[in-house]
Amino acid sequence: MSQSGAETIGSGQITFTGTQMGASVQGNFRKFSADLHFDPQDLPHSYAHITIDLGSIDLASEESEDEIKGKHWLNIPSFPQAHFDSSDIRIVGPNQYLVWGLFQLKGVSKPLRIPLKMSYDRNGRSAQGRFTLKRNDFGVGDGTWSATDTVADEVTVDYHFTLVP
Amino acid sequence: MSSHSPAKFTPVAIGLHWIMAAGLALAFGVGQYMSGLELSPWKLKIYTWHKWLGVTLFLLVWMRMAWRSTHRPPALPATMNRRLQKLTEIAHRALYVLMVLIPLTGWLHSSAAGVSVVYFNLLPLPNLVPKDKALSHLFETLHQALNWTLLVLVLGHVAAAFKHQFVDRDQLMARMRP
Ligand code: HEM
Ligand code: HEM
Repeated sequence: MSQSGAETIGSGQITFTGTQMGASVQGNFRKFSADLHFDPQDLPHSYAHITIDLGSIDLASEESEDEIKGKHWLNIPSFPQAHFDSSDIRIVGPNQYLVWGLFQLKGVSKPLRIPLKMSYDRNGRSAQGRFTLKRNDFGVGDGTWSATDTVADEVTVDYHFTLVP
Repeated sequence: MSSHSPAKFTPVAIGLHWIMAAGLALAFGVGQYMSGLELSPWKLKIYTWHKWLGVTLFLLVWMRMAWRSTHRPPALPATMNRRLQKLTEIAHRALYVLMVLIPLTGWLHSSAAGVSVVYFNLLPLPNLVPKDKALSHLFETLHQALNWTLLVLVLGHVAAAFKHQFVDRDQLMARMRP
């Protein structure tokens, strides 16, 4: 349940960049939702719960999308969503924060630290950042795909959200 | 007139003609083979090699056109009538256009699919268009259609070369012989 002062994502994007054969491959998720509250004056009571609808993945190729939804990669029939739940937010610079939390993907939970930069303009507030995950930590791309010479282990995630009350 | 016209293509033109003929045949065969494969690490590898080969051919065709624009090819035999000479000229021009457009649409397709090309793992090429599924499909279809057009034209080209050799016996092939 949303507490008072809770916000959600007005508009935004979650994109990711993998590496295959040394070349970058871009993708993004079209659907995600958030329940969050961010008060720079009260970080202990600030939080973010993000849910990503993994089936909304866009790789600009049906063949790649079908593959990545399958059991070797995201196994979406069994694990349709990924979650991030923050546990701690700390300020590290002007409008710069680090968010600690638990990331759940494909039945695996791992602690994750996400950099966050807040910006303020006439349209309101927006949050953005970039971090790197290792797909093999979550068993994403197993079997013949787990070798990292063709598809690299690291996946860079970029997010940009505008926050609305 | 014929005194100003060389009797043979230059060694560079001949070299480029045959290297590209071999490279195009290989790229075509590999493209055909790879697109039918199930998605696997092997498929991703061979796609990458196809792209590197295709980009190489893209570079070669620009050199070839630059060379041609500064080195006059031999005139077509006077035994060919005007219409046939014109047709030959158009066909050769079309082959050059296809040799440019085919790798270009391949690159556009790859860009629109969100997959960048790092030439021989050394030189990152820019993505020409942003990731967009509809655009990716469009360029994929164009890449295929242009390839089939090339196949038809090359078959006609080879048939014409053989006709010169075995029917007309006009030694035209010798002009392109390495
Ligand atoms: C002159 C050079 C090239 C030739 C002759 C060539 C030929 C072909 C052929 C015959 C196919 C199979 C088409 C089909 O499915 O029927 C193909 C597919 C493909 N080519 Fe090329 N290609 C060339 C250059 C390139 C370049 C430079 C790139 C990218 C940078 C590229 C990317 C692709 C891709 C991604 C496919 C797979 C399409 C799919 O997903 O089905 N090609 N190519
Ligand atoms: C076995 C295959 C091939 C044979 C026997 C062949 C033969 C020839 C010959 C004899 C010529 C010289 C014509 C002249 O004297 O005016 C020629 C020119 C040419 N060939 Fe091929 N060729 C082959 C494959 C290809 C391929 C695959 C391409 C590329 C798509 C190609 C593109 C051209 C072009 C563009 C010219 C015109 C050169 C110029 O005037 O600049 N050929 N070919």
